[in-house]
Amino acid sequence: MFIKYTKSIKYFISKVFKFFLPIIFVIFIFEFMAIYSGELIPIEYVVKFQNNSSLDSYYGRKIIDQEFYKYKYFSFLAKKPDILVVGSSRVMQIREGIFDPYYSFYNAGGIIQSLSDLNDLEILLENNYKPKYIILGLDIWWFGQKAELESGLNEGIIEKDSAYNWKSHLAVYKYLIKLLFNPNELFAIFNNQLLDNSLGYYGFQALEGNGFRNDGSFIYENYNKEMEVNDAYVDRETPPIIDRLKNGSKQFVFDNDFDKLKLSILDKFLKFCKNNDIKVIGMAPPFSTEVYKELNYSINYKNLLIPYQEDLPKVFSNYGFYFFDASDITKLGLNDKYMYDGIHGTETALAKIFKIIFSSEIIENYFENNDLLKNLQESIDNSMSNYYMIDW
Amino acid sequence: MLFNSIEFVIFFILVFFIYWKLNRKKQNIFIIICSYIFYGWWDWRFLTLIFISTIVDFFLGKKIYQNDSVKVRRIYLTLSVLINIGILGFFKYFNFFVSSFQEIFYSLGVSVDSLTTLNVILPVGISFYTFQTLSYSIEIYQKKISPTKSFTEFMAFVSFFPQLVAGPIERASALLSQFAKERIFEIHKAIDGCRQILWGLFKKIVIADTLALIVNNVYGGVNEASGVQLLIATIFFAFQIYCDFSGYSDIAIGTSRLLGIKLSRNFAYPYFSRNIAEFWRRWHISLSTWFRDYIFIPLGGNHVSNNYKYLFNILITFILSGLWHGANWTFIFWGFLHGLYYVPYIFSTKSKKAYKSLDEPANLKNIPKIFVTFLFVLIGWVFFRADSIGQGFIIIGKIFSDFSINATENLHLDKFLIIVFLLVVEWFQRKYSNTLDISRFNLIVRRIIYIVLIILIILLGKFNYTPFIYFQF
Repeated sequence: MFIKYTKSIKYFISKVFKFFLPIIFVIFIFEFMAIYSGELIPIEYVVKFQNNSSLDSYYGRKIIDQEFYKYKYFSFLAKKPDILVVGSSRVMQIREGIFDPYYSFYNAGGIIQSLSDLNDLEILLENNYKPKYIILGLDIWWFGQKAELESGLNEGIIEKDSAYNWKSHLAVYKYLIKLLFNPNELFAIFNNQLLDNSLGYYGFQALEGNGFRNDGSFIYENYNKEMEVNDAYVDRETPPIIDRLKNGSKQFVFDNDFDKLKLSILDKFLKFCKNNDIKVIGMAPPFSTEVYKELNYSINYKNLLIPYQEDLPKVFSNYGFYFFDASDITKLGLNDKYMYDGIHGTETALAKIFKIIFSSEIIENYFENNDLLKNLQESIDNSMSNYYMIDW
Repeated sequence: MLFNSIEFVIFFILVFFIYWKLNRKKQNIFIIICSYIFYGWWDWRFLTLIFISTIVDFFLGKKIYQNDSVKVRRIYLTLSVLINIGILGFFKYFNFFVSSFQEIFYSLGVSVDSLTTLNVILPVGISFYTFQTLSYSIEIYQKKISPTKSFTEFMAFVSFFPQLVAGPIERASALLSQFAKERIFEIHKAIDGCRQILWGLFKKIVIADTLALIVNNVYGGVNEASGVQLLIATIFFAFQIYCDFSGYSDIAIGTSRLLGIKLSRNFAYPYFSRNIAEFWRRWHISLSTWFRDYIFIPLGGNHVSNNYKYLFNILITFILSGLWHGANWTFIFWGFLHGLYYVPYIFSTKSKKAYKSLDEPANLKNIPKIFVTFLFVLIGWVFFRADSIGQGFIIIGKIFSDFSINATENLHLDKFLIIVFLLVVEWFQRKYSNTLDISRFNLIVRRIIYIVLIILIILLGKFNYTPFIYFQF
């Protein structure tokens, strides 16, 4: 059926092969470096490692898609924690140490980007593992009339991991080629992976010090280094939150009145939790003083802040759940140096907020162990702890 | 399946290794199978259209040849034209004509609600293979060729995958005959084909797809864009469409060469043309010659009683060429505009000088002429890219009136640098049909050039699988 290749075809094939051989070799080296950096390690392996290993590790891809929803959701399923934190990035600083060693914990902060993600979460919890407690951070802008109800959670979980896409590999090679022109940076990045045997790094962002820890919380190593040198408040977001508020940009939109109908989505979720014996602690995460002031006094937002602070506790109390409003940090005895930017508090800020929460009478009925407060107080009081980091 | 996709790379490597293990007859059958897989990758349902077109022209070609009566021959040719153009017209132009009629009647105050548009998908490359099969019937009618007896050879001719969806539109006399012959693998041609593929990929992935991002952005918001932004976007579009389409042609020609098939040249450095007539001898050559041979010359060409008739023939040819590109008045206007560009040549006594041969490449003294020709081509591209003729005029108006440059305006100098690189390479290679014909250089220089191009593709390329622009035509 088949005829033999002619000499010229064989010669051509060998010539092409010889040409591509060094190229394939170079690609192989780049592939090795890309995998070694952890950037291309598929989510399932990262989840497995972070769940099973006693070693601390950071997960933070920089070049390819973080597969954020997938990473957080599958980590939650793998850990099957007693306490699950959900909300936006504003709750990502809640640490395992607050509940350790009494309750297992996982912070899936960032998994909720709008109220409709709560619907997706409800379905996922319904069909899979249910935690005993949910700490739910609720952002003010989710309740605006102009806030879109876009859900990304379900789609994000189903999405194929970009680590399996050849274009992602190519993107990482491109980054590595750029790094080759800056050997100091290249060495500094890989230095962590080479020398630090007590940690695992998954991705270039993690190698630079920023990433998700085993408990799902996020470490801002570069911010922490800045704060170590200078404790003056700086809004590190781009553009700064206060500018967004004044310009009505990003998540802050002018004349965005409170939408009572959106409360029904929250109500439905709380009802689901109640029916499934999941205790919920609601939380309004902290703002910097300038941001809170702007929200409070600007005519553009006051129709949003007042009902947000008044109506949310009522919805929670309808189901016997506790809601804590940490919007105004001055009332909590904190100040702006506990803030990374206008909307993100440091882990110390969040730990201190939980200290107040644990002191509440209602919370006494929530947790079976009363040593939580004492334990947390010890960690906060530890001489190694400061305003941006707790020595757990 | 896109040429710039990993699927195609794997597909073609497999095709290459199996193809050269087969004898001629089996090679033809194998090409048909591969071509149908290649086309069916988009939408297998439209394979029936290719098959219908193949059967119709195969049998009507025979009928045309077998009859001596001019009248009968003409009937069979008309039948072939009606069926092919009928299919093309239905899928490509039905909605356009219905909505155009509706607009005309509405403007006259007559309601034509009974006329409704259909939800029809445009089959990829339908204009290309329709014109290719039509050329077969027409050439038999013109007694330039005799019909093939082999249905498989004819099927391979119609569906040959490297040029199926975006050309070059081959004549039966050039391509069909190659399927009837034994194919011989010639190493220097294969290597030349590889070079052409590499250059085609560079043009598509690095230049066209990079420029597309800016063009789409600016043309997507014409009202907000400044005159300078629109001018930059239009220049970028000129190079986007050139690199996109000529890049496709290069890859098609290169892959065919690896299979021992020679395809015709489709682009010959069109932006170095010294006048519009030369531009059309260098741009989309296979389509230009198709319209020349089957529309312009049968209308009488330039051998007519007066210059007005000559102009009429030119305008008709260009308007139809515009319509071929798409069912939109912008394409028709673009064709009409290019027809008008011929007026000075038609009414000039020196008109014959306008028709430069491709063997007569431009030199440095010609740069002013090249620049002026490019400006006229650029104006045409505005209408080609615009959503409507009205929008085209708005863009032209802004370009010529709004010269303000915002301090923060991105002038995309890096993109211009890529274009300059392209033009410099093309200028030095303008005597060669394959831009990357570097066989005269020594091995080390050649290897360095290949490696540099591969690195540039990896570093600067956009791997977002942007379909080739001409697929929609």
